[in-house]
Amino acid sequence: MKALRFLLSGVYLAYILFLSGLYVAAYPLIMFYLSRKKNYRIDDAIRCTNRLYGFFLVKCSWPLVRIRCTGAENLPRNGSAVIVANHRSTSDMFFSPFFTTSNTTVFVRSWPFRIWGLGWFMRRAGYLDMEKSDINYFLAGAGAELFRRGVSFLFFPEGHRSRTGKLQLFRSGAFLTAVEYNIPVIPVCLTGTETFQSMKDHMFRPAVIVITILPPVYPAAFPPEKRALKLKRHVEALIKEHLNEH
Amino acid sequence: MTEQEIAERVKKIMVEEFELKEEILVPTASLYDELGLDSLDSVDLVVALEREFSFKVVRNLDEEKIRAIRQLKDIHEFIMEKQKAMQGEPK
Repeated sequence: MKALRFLLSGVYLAYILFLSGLYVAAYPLIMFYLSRKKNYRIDDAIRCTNRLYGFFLVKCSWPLVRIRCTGAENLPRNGSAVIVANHRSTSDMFFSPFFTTSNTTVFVRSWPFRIWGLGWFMRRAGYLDMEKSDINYFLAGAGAELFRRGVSFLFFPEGHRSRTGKLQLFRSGAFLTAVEYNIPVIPVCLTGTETFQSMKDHMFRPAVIVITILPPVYPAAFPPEKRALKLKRHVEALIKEHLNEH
Repeated sequence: MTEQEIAERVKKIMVEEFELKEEILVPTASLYDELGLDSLDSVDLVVALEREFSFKVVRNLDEEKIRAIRQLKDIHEFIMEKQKAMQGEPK
C-alpha cells in the first residue's frame, strides 16, 4: 500500500513538473504581454504571472485537488491589505492565488532564498525575507513604496508549519505592517492542505482544500497603545475560533 | 534606568509577545533552549525592545552583539549599553 502511494505521488509530481515545463515555456510570452502591453513593472508582472501559475496548477490537479473557497468578496478590489493565513503544509503557498489579490508580495523564511535560481526569482518578484528584513527599515522604505502602489502583503504569521495542526503563536510583522499603513488585515483559514501534502512523508494525497476568507479587521478599531499587539491577539483568536469549528 | 527596571520591562515584553510564564523568566534563562524562542522570535524581540526602550538597533554595528545574546541577562546588558551610548550622543 505504501509503495503504491509512493508511486502515485511520484506520478503526480511528474505531472506537476510537466505542467510547470509548459508554463515555463509560455512564461516569456505572458511576461511580454504584461510588461509591454499592460505596462506592468517587472516585479508586478512576475507576481501576477506566479499567481496565474498557481491557478493553472491547481485547476489542472482536479479531481485530486478540489477547492472550496468562501469569502473572496472580503479581499480588497483596490489598495493594499495584509493577508494572514494559518500554515499547515509546504503546499499552502501553492493555493495562495485563491486567497490573495492579483498583486500580493509574500514574506518568506530565509531558506527558499538560498535555493539556486528560486532565490533570484523570488528577489526579482519582490518577495521578502522575514528573517533578515529589519521590519522598521522595511516599513519606512520598500514597504511604503509597495503600499503606495497598492500591493498587498501575505504573511503566514506562525512562521513555521504546524506539526500538530494546532495554531501556533503569531509573530508580529504582519500586524506592525497593518498598523503602520492603517490597512485592513484579512484573516484566512486553510484546512486540507495538511492532507494534500502531509508533514510526515511529504507525499501527495487527494484532498479537499477549504479556504475561508474572513471579513477584514481594521487596525483603527483598536486603542492606540500597543495596537499591533491587540490586533495580533484578535486576529489569532478569530482564526483559532474558526479552525476549531471544523 | 536601573538594571532591575530594565529586567522588569523585558519580562513584561516576554510575557506579552511570546506568552511565556513569568516564573521561568530568570536572568540566566537561555532564550533558545529554555524559553523556546527561534530566529523569527528574535526578529520580533528586537522590534519590541526598540519600541519599548526607544533605541534603534543599527545594522552592522549591533548585529554581532545581537547574535551573541543567549540569555535574558545578555538582553539586559545590551539595553544598558545602548542606553549609555544614547546618553553619550550629542543632543
